[in-house]
Amino acid sequence: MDYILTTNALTKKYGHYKASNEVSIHVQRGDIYGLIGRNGAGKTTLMKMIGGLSHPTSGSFEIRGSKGENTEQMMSKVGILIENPGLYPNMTAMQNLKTKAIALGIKDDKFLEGLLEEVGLANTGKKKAKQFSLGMKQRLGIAMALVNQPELLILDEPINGLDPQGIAEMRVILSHLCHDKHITIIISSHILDELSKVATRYGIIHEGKLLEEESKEELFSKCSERLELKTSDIERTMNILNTMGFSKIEVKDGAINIYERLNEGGAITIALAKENIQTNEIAVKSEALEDYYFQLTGGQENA
Amino acid sequence: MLNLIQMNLYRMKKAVSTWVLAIVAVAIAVLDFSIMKIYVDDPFGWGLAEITGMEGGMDMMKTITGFLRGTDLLIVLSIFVVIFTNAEQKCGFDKNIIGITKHKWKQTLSRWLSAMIGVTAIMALAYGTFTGLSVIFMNSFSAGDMVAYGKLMLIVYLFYAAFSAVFFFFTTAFKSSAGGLVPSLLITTGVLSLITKLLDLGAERLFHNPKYLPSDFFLEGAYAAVSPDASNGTILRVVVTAAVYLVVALGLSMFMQQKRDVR
Repeated sequence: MDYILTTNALTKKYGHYKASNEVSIHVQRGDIYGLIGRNGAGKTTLMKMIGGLSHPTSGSFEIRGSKGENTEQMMSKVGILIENPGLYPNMTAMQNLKTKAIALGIKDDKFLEGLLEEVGLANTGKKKAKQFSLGMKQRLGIAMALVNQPELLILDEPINGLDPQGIAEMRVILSHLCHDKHITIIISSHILDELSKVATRYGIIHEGKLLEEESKEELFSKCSERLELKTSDIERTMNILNTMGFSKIEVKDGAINIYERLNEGGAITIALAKENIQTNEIAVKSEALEDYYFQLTGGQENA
Repeated sequence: MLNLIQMNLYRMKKAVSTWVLAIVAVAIAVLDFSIMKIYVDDPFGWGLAEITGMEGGMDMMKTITGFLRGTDLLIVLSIFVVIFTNAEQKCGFDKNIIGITKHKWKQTLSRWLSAMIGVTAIMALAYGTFTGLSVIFMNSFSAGDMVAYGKLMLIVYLFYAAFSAVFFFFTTAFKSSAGGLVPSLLITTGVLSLITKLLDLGAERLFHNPKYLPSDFFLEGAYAAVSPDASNGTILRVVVTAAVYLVVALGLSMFMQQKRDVR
């Protein structure tokens, strides 16, 4: 696997409280990695450590196989937008970009103009950042994160507080950065629906711990509709299902989940009966991403 | 680090506060000069020149010594250093650049060096205005002993650097303008010197004419001892005191930045 970032039991303690508890995530090059977790789950803490803003209490992380925090060259290829975009309110979009560019020794104004164009702020002229809408500020924050031409972009709640149009614009920008510019993105949010529209891989964080890490397909397979079947003999049932041509099948927690031809429950029951296999339970079940998340993190009352 | 200094100078140039404080510094120089001119000319015949030691021909040393006595410029500089130092963390801009190097202390050092460039510019503006007005409007004005003048200005500059480092330290430590301004203004407005005078009294009572007093080792106490007539021993003591404050305040600020997380 071509991992651009891996963390190894990354932990951050504030006193006795573990804001990040031995988190090990694996981000492949080209991923849009969605960090899911409710407020205070530890997403920002994790991102701050990766972005070099915070020192891990223990654990380590590697960017492109090099120890991140200790490799200046690697860190220079990481762009961050954490919590809120750090902008000088009395400066224009271009001046804000230029400030960071000077720090990095970049003197190419055309490149900066290109960045503003990419995030849809090319025509802001002399308008100062303090007069920008939240969406514009967030987009300028992304442009700021892109000044050092990063390979890895860390975005903490970039869609938080945006109106539907702002969210849609952000989605377009993220897709463009990932697919056209080949930038790997880690994005956190507690708005699951929105995250599910852009992310290709997910890490679910709860109370500082990484509960699950899976691809979009894996996650969606758990959330999509399925035929849940419980029988007296799982092994023989599997053989029969294979004979019947079912391929999208998995056994989990003593039940067989079938993810195709959901209307063939009757035929399955008959086939099993012919082989003297007792059907204890058969039902079509479905789970929304949100339901799955609640189930994983301990229920809706915690959200 | 040169890039970081350039970045800081760019934002300094763009900040309204820089220009406002520069104008205030010039206004203070004009005001102080006007007061000095009244003392020297003594238009009401109150013997002000004699009382203030400004009788006879004026030269660079005399005018500047008069300007030095006031702490108005130091107050302006303390406000400048605090606002400039805190701007980055106040708006969160530091998050954009802090991760780019593992040597975070370099960012602190470059910020202080940039602040010192601003301090130097404001100082030069104020002293230049004051000297220019003296040359133009003072009767029988002469250059005087330029070597002694240069020496005095170097010591004064060292003190301004030390004061700036102390203001810088407070702002870095408290991570807020208020946290930086309150102690800085307590120092520059002379409130702290009231406390050090009390300590002096206590020391005198306890040790009966001690060679050194506590105020000798406070920055504002040492600054008060700077004068063209000071002995070599006094000059050495105040220079060492200023240098120690500068190094310790700056060192602590860099250490904090290196060890601390960005919130």
